[in-house]
Amino acid sequence: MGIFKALRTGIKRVNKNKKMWFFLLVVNILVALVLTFPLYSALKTSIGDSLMGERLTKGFDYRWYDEFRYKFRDTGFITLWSPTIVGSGAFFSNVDSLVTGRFFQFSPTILILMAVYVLLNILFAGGILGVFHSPEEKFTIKGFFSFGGTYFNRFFRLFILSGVLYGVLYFLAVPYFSGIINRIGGTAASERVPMVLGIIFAVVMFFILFLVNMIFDYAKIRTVVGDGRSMIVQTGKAIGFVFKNFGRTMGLYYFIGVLGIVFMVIYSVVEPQISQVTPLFVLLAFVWQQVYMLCRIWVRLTFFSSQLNLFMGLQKEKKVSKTAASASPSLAES
Amino acid sequence: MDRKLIAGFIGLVLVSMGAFSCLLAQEPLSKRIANYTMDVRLDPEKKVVSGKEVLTWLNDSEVELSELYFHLYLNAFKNNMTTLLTEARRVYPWRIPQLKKEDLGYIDVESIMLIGEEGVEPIDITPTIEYVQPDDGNPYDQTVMKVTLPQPLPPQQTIKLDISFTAKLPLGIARTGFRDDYFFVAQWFPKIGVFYEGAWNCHQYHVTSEFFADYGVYDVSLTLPSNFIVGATGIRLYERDNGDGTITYNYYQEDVHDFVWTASPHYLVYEDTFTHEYLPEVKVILLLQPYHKMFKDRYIEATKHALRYYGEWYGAYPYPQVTCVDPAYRSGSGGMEYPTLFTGGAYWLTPIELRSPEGVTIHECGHEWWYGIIGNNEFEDAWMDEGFDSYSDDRVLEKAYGPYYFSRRFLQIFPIVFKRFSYKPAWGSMSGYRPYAELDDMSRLAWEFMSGTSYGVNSYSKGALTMWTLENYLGPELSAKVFKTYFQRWKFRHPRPQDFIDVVEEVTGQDMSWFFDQIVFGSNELDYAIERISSSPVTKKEGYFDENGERAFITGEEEGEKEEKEEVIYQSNVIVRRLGEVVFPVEVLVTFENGEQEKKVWDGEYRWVRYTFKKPSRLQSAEVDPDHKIFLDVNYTNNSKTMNPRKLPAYKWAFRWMFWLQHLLETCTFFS
Repeated sequence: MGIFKALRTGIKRVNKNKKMWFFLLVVNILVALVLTFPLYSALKTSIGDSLMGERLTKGFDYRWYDEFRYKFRDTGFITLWSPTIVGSGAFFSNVDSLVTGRFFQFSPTILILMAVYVLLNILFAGGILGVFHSPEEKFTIKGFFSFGGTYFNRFFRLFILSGVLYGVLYFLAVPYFSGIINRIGGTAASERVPMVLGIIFAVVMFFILFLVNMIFDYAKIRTVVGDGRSMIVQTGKAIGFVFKNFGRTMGLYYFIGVLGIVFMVIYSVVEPQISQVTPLFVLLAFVWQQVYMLCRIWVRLTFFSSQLNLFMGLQKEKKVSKTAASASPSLAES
Repeated sequence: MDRKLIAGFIGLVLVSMGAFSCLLAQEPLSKRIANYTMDVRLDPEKKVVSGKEVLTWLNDSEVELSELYFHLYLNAFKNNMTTLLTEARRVYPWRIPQLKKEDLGYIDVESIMLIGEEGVEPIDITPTIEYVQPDDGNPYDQTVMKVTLPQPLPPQQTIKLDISFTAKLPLGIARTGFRDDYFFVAQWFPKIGVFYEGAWNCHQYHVTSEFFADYGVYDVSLTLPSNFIVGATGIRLYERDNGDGTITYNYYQEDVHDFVWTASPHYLVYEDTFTHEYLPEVKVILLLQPYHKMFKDRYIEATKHALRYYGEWYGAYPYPQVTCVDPAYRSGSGGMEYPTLFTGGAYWLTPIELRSPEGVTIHECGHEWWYGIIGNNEFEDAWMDEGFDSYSDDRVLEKAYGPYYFSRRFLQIFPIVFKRFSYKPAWGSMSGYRPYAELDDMSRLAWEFMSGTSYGVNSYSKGALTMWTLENYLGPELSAKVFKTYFQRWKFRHPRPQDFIDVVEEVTGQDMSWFFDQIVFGSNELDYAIERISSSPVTKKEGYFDENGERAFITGEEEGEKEEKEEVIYQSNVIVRRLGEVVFPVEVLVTFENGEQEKKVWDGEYRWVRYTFKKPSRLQSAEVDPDHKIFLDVNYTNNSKTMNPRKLPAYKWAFRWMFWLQHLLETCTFFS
């Protein structure tokens, strides 16, 4: 099976399950609201009944921002608010955190929320793959949670396994290589040396993170398709599968990744055009944000769906070639 | 000697004499108290500068002096117990690496000879050398040296000393030193202290302090391997190939208070000329690291902006040349000022919107005025140059480049500029100042601030905010006159805070002690706020009222009917509070719904004031300091209140943050 066929049929399946997108979006919004309310309250308190409200409606006021951050400096997560996370800044900020593991430095409040969301999505990953692998391929809340419950225990163990690898990356590799870069930088003739090393390190980090992520995606897929019980075995087999079909697994993964970037670019180009000076436009901007989030969820589902197709397609090809080989031993011998 | 060499030498001497006489022909700009003729040699392998200096020093005081004090700044890097390195471990522990033996620096004064009149044998006063520690008594600190004269030096008499010294340069960690084959040689020679206000002012080298010296003439010959490219204070009068792989450069500059030089085989040298309608022409030299070639035009343009605006606002740059040095990576020599030469600092992949190297270039070039020409005591009154200069560079940056933008470096490498979010350069100072507003007085010895941050905040941030507040209080014209007058009056001298205050009071004709006492010599916060506003129809009369000799009972209803026929009058109240301890006169702008505005001026003395208005319109809003003149106000948001607060911004910004959080959560699914 080629990557484009896997992608095409994968997209078709995702598009058949629009309710699933919206369900995941609603969960995302609800979890985000848990901290958005305190932030809103902090903003309201800060702006109060001052004329700053007028100024901030029309644009941005550095002096207020500076005071706001200072006033809420002890609240942790509120100080993460900054103009540099607006629009495309969100993407850069989060990808940055992903590569460097900087989110471990976030306030405990955010970390707890992130952990809850991860746990929820371990449950949802079972639901998503279960639905996609079921003969009807149709999303229902009951079916979704039923699949989620079925695989939660196994996926949680996969999460622990992958966590060990990510832990090694973030707590050993990142500090170790940062140290090396700093040491080399300390004796380098120009700042370009550590910067170029930093770029190389980031590229390698991206590659490893994506590779690990992909392996564990296939481990999940194998678990659902073959009803596997041992997660170590599934991971080992997933590694074998990925490396045996390296071009296709990587090609598919990165192609979908590029789709995600395209969505981000479109969002980033349009978002600043919505001047948020009236309630209608603020609402419009919010809707546009949710459209982007929906696209993001769509990308995540497409990863699962297309990788599931690729896996099943390649397994089928393997079976066919095995059958063919056993049917014509002379050919196999040749 | 072959003929060509002789002819060349004669030519050289003639050219030098011509240039020299041309320079000498000018009227002295300063008192020229400390004059140095130096002849030194750099050994790049050993990182050693050795040679001698002839110091001609004028006792400009009214007392006889039997002792002379010298700075030996390089001894700050002699061992880990010096005052500078001890303080550094406390103040900036992350900035000071473990120094190896070869990284240490020191200066040995080998001999000091008192040169008398011609024919009189010089007197060796080397045995009288004594290290003293006037600031902290630290016995390991040898950054101040005292020598005793055989006979007291009478007032207005000149003394001539011949000093031989060897300076081992440290690894560049703080302003001076080497990094591989890059040399930035600052604070490197035995430098006499300043005798003023009846005493020697010769402080030890502290981690948070800069320098102080008398003006004079520097005539310095530097010998070093011929592959080195050199930049230095002053004009290069001549260069001489010594025929042994070394070259000697002679630099000469009058009316400066320090001499610095740099050498590296890798510099790219660019020259340009600053021209102006009425300011004198200045040759701009840029010594650039090869890997920063892309910054060439930006460095030069920024330097020219500084020459232009500082020149227009305060007074012309008085020297024919300025040298901008792009320091080597991790040389510890970036962002520093010296007479006629300053260092910038650039970082690969930095777009112009990030204002680097523009910001540092303008700031350091600006120090040619506030430090170079106005020679205040940086040990004791750091705010007088850092504050003045930070204020001035904010103004230049805004004029020349517009606002600052928010930015971040993606993966700590790739810059991303958020052009939607801009701010005035001057506003940045408040971020640093606010958390430390009450830690220290602004006027304090540099090493006596509670921390390095407090020193920085009080010298730079509060200094700049103070000048902005002063400018806004006085108005642009009067303020321009103040700064220009101060600069012109005190150039090439050593003003104290009171000298500046005197100029302010003279130019404005006002007693400004209330301002400086609170801001410069105090550490209280300044914060004015609108406490409460209200507006409602005037209360109707009700009850017994004696009118025309008769008692009448008036009901509220009757009054209401009367009022219906007439216009409704609203009583509006505004309470303004002084939350901080700093008393400052403030304006209060009150706006009514019909568009009418009324401005009140409150002296700010008591803790609060109430304004009451009876108008045919409801109150809409009230704002204290509506034009945001008082840059020192630590809370700007509480300066206003409106009857119709807007809820939209809280939603707007909360939604934007929510999007980031939603995105973050989705990013987390990577791990699930």
